[in-house]
Amino acid sequence: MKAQVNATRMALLSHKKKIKIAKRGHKLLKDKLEELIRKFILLVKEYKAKRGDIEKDLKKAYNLMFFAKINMTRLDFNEFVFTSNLSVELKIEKEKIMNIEVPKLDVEFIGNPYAYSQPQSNVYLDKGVTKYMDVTKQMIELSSLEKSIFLLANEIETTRRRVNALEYILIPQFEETIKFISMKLDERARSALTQIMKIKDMLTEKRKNNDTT
Amino acid sequence: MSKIAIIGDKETIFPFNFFGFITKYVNEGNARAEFRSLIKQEEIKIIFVTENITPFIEKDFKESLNRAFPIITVIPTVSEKTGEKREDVVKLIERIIGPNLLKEE
Repeated sequence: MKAQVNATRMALLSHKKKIKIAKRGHKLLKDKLEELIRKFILLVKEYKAKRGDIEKDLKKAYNLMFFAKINMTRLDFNEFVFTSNLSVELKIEKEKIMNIEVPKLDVEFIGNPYAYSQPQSNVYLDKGVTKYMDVTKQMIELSSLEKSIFLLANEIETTRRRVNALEYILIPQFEETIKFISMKLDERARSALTQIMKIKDMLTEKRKNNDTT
Repeated sequence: MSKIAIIGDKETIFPFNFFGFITKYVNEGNARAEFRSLIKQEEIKIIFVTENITPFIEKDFKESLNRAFPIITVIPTVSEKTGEKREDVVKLIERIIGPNLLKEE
């Protein structure tokens, strides 16, 4: 559908400028979209690998803790869990991927993880704690990765909508308008030319008549 | 101070008490209420949810995905393998790039 415009040379020039900008914008957005999709695929692959690792490591950590638990009294185990002086500090930073701010999370363990009664504990407990610390770090990374995937996906959808709007609506509309204005101007020029030729013919005829009389 | 919470079956999340996580042992009945109370707390920046309870909190879960914080992450359970592969992530990937890259080869 062409826009409602006056068929003037000014309008033609302005639409030619607009289409040039629209085509440039379309190219830039398309490049951005390709790069976003490339980054998205990399993140998804990383997410898949990390999720698989967590699944395995969580199971291993749980098994170690399970062995630790059966080698301790229930009271000792609960004491170990609830009297821990270990805490996690979450660090939230922001990272930019293609100008999109994504959270970059990191975790720091504060306190001594092995500060529990050695005679009442066992080797499985030490290994279990180490494994759980490792799993916790991986889980935090997974969170950060998942959020990045969601944010990138939103940006991809927005960019894709913009690219499609330019490609299928705006640029064709400009092209149609330019075609319409050019045709109108040509028509006007042809009409003017015909008028001039007609006038010239009439004048020539008139001159001929005058000469004969 | 930023806090981390974990919600799910006791077996999976119990050891996280050791690290000072806010832990909520839930079942089918109270999962939704507990999850809602967690997402209202502003100091909680990450909530880990075990995959076996995601069907019970689905609506609140999807609503909270659009927020910047808390970040909700589904983790596998140790007791059972539900086979749920984060449905919304899978759908998102299919919508964006077509084929599902999370599919097992």
